[in-house]
Amino acid sequence: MVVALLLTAFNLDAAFPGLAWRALVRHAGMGELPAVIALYSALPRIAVALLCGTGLALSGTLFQQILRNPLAEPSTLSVSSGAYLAVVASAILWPGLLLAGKFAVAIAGAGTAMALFLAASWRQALSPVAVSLAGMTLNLVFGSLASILVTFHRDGFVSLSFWGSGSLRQNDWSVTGWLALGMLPALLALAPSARALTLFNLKDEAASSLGADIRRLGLIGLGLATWLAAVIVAGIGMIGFVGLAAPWLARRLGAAGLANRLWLSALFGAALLLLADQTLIALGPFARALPAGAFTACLGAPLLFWLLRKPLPMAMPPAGTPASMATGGHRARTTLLMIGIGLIIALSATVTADAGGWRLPDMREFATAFPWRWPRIVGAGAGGAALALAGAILQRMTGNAMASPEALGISSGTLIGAALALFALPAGFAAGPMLGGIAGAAAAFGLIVSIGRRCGLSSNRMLLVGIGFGSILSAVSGLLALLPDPRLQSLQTWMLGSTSLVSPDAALLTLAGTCAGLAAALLTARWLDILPLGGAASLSLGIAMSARLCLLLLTCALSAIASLTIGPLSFVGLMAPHMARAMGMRHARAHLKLSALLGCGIMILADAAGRLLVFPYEIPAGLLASLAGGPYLIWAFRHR
Amino acid sequence: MSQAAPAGLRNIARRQFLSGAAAAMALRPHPAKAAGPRLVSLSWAVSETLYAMGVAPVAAAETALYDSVVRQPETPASTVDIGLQGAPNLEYLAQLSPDIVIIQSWQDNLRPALERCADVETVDIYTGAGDAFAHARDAARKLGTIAAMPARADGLVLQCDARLEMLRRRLRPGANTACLLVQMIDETNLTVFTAGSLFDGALTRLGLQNAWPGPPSLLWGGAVVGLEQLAEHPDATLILIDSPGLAPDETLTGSPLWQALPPVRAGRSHRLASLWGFGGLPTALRFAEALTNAIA
Repeated sequence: MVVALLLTAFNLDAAFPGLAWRALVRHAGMGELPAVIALYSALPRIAVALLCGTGLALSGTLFQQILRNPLAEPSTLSVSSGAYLAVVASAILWPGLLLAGKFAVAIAGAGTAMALFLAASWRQALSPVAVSLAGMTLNLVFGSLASILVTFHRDGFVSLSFWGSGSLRQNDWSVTGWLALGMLPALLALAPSARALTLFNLKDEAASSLGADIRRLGLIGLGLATWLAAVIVAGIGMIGFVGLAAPWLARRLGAAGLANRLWLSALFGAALLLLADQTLIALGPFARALPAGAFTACLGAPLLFWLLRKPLPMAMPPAGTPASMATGGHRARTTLLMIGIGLIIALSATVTADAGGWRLPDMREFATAFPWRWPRIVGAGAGGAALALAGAILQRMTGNAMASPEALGISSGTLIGAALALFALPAGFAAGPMLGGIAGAAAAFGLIVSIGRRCGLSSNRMLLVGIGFGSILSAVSGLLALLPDPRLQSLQTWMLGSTSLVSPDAALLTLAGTCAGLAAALLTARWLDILPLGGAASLSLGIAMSARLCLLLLTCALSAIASLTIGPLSFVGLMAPHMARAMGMRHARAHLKLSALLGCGIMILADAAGRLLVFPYEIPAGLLASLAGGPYLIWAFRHR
Repeated sequence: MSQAAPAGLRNIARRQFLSGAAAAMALRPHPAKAAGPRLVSLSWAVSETLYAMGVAPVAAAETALYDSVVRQPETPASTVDIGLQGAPNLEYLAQLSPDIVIIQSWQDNLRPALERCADVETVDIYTGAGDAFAHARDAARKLGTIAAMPARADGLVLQCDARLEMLRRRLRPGANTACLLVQMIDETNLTVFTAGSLFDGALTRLGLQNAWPGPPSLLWGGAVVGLEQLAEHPDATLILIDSPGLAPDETLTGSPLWQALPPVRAGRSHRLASLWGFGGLPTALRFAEALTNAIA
């Protein structure tokens, strides 16, 4: 806090030397320019930083207290992205929306997000891993929806993606006023309930025996935290990290009791955001153009990884293996599924859209379209199968039906590597992004192994690494979006998982990689049958750490192949293996095969739908798959 | 002093006459397209230049949004929509069997795919360096060659040059004015058009200067700034260009900070109707007309 205030004072002194601060309002009233700038730009900016920092920290502390999860904060719980989506949608639907309307829309969006989030993770007793995965899932769904809106309403110039990225710049006190007004009711309600919320330090059963209606109390607390987060998104946009870091700092300093932690983390939150914003101001004109939100997101990921080193306070309930599932009959199901996928491929290869609607093409049209159609079908299908295989291996290895390459962060790591290679390497070097992608996947893999060495490679905690990578990816792409570089076009194509540019070579390469991966996976099927039995059993059966490493390596390779074709977003790696298991595939071989088939089918369907739905425009297949995957996963979370 | 009023009136009458004449010239319909190569334009700046030459490509990207953001010249009725500028519908493109697909250099990632069905020509307007106006002029000539109608391209360029010269003469009394050209991103963030932007090029050719000294940080020659940074240039004339796609918003111009800016207080601030800053030669000319009408 002291550092933040000193830096602020330094910046103010540098910007307004010799300004009569005491008579500021009078001088500004007389129209002296430095006084006006100080009064209406510099000071409200500081006030907004302090208010938002406080709000985010309080919101984070409340979420962490009630969910008993040190990783909970508005942006990991999808509350912020829900509010953001609502504001983006309203900006497009009602362009003239005023500040008051924006606040109402944001609160409605955040409330809906929180309700969905609770619906998804309630059955899991709101355990840390379930909460984080549900948050990540919803974040991806809201994020994809927002990207679709922005992509199709981009006017090519005034960038909607800049808007809402958390710039703290102010021209008057109106946003400050709205923030203060919006936060006030939550703060007033918080004061009397803080004491009651300390009950969440106890175990549920113990608290219930004290006679407290703990669930209702929890809901009130979550509501307050959601409200605070929504107000901040409406005021200035998405700001990550602060809600995570401030409560963490307060805990590290040993603040005892909820009330103390709330005070201390509010103080830290205000200081952190002020420090981040004033640092950008001090760094000069280019840094000054960066939104504070993009900057804090970069800082957030390392802290998340740091937090993951320590065991989470509450264990994950044992992952359910539906015991009542039939074991037989998978041959028939596989055959049926193959017929279904054959149909999908046949339809996808033929059905054509034009201005009049969908129809079957004549021979000439088909001959023209086919050279374009087959690479994307092969690329989408092979990519989907590769992700599904990676997901199936991970789910078997960790014994957690919610594991996936997306959750491990390998997909995001691949894209980060490819993006950096695109910018760091000379322009003509075509293989650069592919190599960078592999390097990125390897780096993600290294981090996963180093975290895994501490807590066991199969620990649920590893699944949360992906959240960290996801936030790095969004920060990197957010920062790159501010650069004047045309290569961003190809980065965007990747990020959204567009299959329309897949070349014949790339399609065949993806197919070859996936086939090799499938063969390797089937060879390891015996390990995968034993691993879910648990550490002791598998150790006695002679499955060493090296086997797990092999499997993890295979997973990384498969994810890297797939992510470069169908993007980092799609839920196929989570959805397909889950569906395969729900269809009764208990043995590893059958599970792997069926997952790959399902993944292939889902992606081809997504590709065809994206091509046909809004002709002549195309919705990227990866985006569409993640959009469809979200609801399935929420349903799956509820019925595990 | 007594002559001031009639002079002012005359000025207004002349202004109206001139802008009417300009509109008549710019929008004079060319005869329907002669037999040329079948063209596809994948960017708005190229589309707008082709349309202004009276060339109707078989397809162009995002025509509906073009007609609401760039607005004129309108998309010809025979031109179909081929999808997003960054992600055109390739199959549909192949069905149209074009001879030449025209992209800008920022769309180079599409080139390998496009080359599978047609010749691809790259037109550079926004490269992140140099004079975008000069590029737009060269682009018009290059497009004339591509469309096999060099005479029309020459006509467009000459007409544009002549028009700019007329506008420059009208501005002579106020020459050497330094302008800040800004466009709103949201209530508090602005884009300022720097050196390397299309508008900067048009400004210079009108005999005016760009008051913003900094380099661009965006591809089209712009940088993101706040009002407090505009205050560093108190002697400039402030030009706010309404943002295409954003409703005109009084939150910015009503804020005490905007009102306190020296150009605003001195009555040296003007507002231009929405212009798309990423356009070609016709947009540059429209900007020059609007600017001259505002400050002359």
